[in-house]
Amino acid sequence: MPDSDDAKLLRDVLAGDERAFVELYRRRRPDVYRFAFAMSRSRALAQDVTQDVFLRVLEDAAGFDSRKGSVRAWLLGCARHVVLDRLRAESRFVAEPATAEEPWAPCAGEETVVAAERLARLHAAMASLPFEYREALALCEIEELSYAEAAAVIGCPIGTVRSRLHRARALLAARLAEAEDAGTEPLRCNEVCS
Amino acid sequence: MTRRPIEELIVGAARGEPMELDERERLADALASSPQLEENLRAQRALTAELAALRAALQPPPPSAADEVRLREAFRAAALRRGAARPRVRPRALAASFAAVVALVVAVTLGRSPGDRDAADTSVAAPTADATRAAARAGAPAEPTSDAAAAPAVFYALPYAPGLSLAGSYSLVRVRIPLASFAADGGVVEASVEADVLIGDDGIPSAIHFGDHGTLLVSRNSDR
Repeated sequence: MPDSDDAKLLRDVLAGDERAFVELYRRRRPDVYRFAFAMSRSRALAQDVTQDVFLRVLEDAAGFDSRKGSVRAWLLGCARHVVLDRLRAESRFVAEPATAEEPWAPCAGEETVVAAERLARLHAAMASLPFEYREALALCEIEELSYAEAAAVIGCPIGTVRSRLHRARALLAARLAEAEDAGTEPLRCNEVCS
Repeated sequence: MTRRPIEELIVGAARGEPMELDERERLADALASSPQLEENLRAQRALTAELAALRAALQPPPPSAADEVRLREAFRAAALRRGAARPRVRPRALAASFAAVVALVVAVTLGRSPGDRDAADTSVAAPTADATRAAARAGAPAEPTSDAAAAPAVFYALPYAPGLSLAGSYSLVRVRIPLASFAADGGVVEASVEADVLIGDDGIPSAIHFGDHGTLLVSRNSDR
């Protein structure tokens, strides 16, 4: 989906076109949701954040500047603020144990369970990282933004994003290795599948 | 340009980032000389693959119709708020109001004697709060006071306007209106008339005062 289409939709939203607003929501909802879920590890929070971001679009659409980045990056920047506010409000900086509200892929067989369990561990390890490392991972690895785009979203130099991502990956690898060495007890079934 | 540490080059290679030629050479030399770095690169490549799998797994649930309905409602509410915050003068409503008022003024003034017209002309003065309040109370033209020196201007409440409020604040705008705008019988009237319009905070004209009755009357008379 070309970003120029997003920019046109956003212009139409500003001009009062409701259909453009709904179209933008349908196109970019998955990106915003995925980022919020990656950051919070809570589906309920991710859904709330997604709604909040598009409500903010209604108020702040005029603040978008195409010279600073794409509409997608701008939406992720809004999502970053909303997630940060929510996490502060809910004091969820430290990852919580997974609950039944965070289902993974359905259990189809042992291999699927093992793969889903690995993903759940990876997500848990990611959620346990400090916010600045977590967001570097979420933006660069999960959302596949370039360093420049991620730097614009976070509001820091490109070199800072690069070094944070490097540090985040090192921390993530270390935590996964620790978990394996410690023989962490297997996740409950409802943590890895619905 | 600063040299990137070898660990960053390993992460870059694991993520498939493009590299400069000298960086590729440095990385190749480092990997050849250190099995540990070779192991790091393998681990980072595995991590890249796992993060890609996580990306694929973090899919949103199917879109909810209720969410879309809520957003649509929010969109309409925001549009209404923006509309209320942005004062707009509606030309059609203004023209219709003017036409109605001019018809009223012409009808009333033509029915008076020339002496009455002269007396009416002397009442033209800057609008006062009393006149505005009177118009608001009556919902009709405010009558001039008997004191000619301090005589308030006659402001007519415009039809279809929301009405004057004692608590409201208004802007006074002087306009010149071509009488052709009001020619209901299709006649061509060349003259124009000067008028003062009271415009509310919402941008809607609420009352009008004609400053030059003579011009209006001459033009109408010359048409006949």
